[in-house]
Amino acid sequence: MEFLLESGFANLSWGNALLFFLGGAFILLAVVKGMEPYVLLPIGLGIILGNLPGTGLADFDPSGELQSSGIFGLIFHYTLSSWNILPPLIFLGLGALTDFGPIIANPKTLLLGAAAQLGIFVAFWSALGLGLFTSPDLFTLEEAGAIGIIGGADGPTTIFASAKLAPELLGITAVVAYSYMASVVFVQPPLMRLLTTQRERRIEMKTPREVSRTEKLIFPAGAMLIIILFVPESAPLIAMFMIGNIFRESGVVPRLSNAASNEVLNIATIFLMITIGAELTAERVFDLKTLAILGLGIVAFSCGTVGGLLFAKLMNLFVKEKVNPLIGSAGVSAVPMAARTAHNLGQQANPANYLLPHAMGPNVAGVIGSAVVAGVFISILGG
Amino acid sequence: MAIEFDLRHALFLTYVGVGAAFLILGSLVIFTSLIGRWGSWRLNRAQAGAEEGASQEEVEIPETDTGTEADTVDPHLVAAISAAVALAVESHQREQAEERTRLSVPTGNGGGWRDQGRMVAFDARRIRERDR
Repeated sequence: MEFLLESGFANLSWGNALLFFLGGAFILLAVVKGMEPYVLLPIGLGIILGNLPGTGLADFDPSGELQSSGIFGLIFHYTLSSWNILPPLIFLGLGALTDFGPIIANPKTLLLGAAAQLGIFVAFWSALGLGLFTSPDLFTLEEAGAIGIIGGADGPTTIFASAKLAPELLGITAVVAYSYMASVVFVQPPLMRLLTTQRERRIEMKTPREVSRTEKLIFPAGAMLIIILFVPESAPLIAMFMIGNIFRESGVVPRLSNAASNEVLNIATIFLMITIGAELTAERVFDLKTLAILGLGIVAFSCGTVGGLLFAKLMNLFVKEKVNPLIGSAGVSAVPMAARTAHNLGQQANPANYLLPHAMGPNVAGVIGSAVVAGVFISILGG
Repeated sequence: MAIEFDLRHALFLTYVGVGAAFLILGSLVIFTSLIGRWGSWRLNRAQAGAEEGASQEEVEIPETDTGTEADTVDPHLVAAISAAVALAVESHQREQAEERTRLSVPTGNGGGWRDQGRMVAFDARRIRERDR
């Protein structure tokens, strides 16, 4: 009888059951629809595993007693909560996959990446503002900062900032960020159609000039120094991103470049995604804060898209060579989904339009921009 | 009081955050533009160098074609070399024809396949002895 009472079935709550459905939905979306499978499949599996009662997989015992912590609890504690290791490793891999050519060929697109950070500040203020209507203690400044970073639509940066500012919100902010990143194709197009005219969407942009290898080598080194000197707190992300890129562009360390963009990135992704999923237990998810974060996430993401689009339209008032405003929406990071969405919408309006290389500029600038803002938040809020 | 302090803090954070994002990315725009200008200058210089090289080649080729150097060569010498080459070729062709005659398989004078075989064997032995 005692055995039955200690079984998982006896301890299963309705919250666990609901999260099984959520995990199952993520797995279905990944496997059947092919939506962000590298993110949604491991997160979905993590959610299901983390909600199996009595396993202790996501437990962490700070006393350090032998065998008292679960595997995901240990990974969460040592690679995210105590020492923020996995997001910088992911940035190393992303750097090794990134081509800065479009940015170097058209530097003004960097500003679109800055404008798309509007979502971060809107979500930050909305989180604080919600406290006025509910409870003044709903979100602290640190928690509001962690929620705001979701607006950058950059998973590793959200995790990095949350782990430093509000570790208790890490699981939910990460899942919300990745979920909205995966749904770029649904969230962004209506806003893009609403804020641009057919004529604007038809604007053709000149093919970017060819960029030499030397330029591609100087840019990451110089950018790394400039950004880190301004915001030292962003160093873990920016340094790893640029190191990965220098490996790639130098052309002399193909093994390191391949390892960063394949083995390191894949291993980090496996541990990060499953652990984040496992952290979404029923006790953590079903409360007012979580529901509020879900709502604020969509506000943040939408405002980031709007910021990029409107800034591109504003830029067109001053520049000689017009930019297609659709590429402004790619400033929300979400590499490369946001760039692809801008490209596809541009082609629908004008089949001769080829916006992908142009949209990659703001897309990568968005990654840099959100890492910079995260660094500012961490340095001021003292993570 | 606490809320007021938080609002001030939040305003400061927004001001610094927005400022930092535009300042840093703006600095990168300037830095990248400088790299771009330098890169374009190098590319233009390389293209100009390549074009200059190509135009020099174009000028040099007609010089040799017009035969300015050939004009200085003694025509008697050219005729003597041509005659020597013709003689060498003729003698080589003659030697080859003789060798073919020696090694050719007899087809007439009642030579059957046995005689032909003996003849080939004889010639082969003669060649081996000569080579030795």
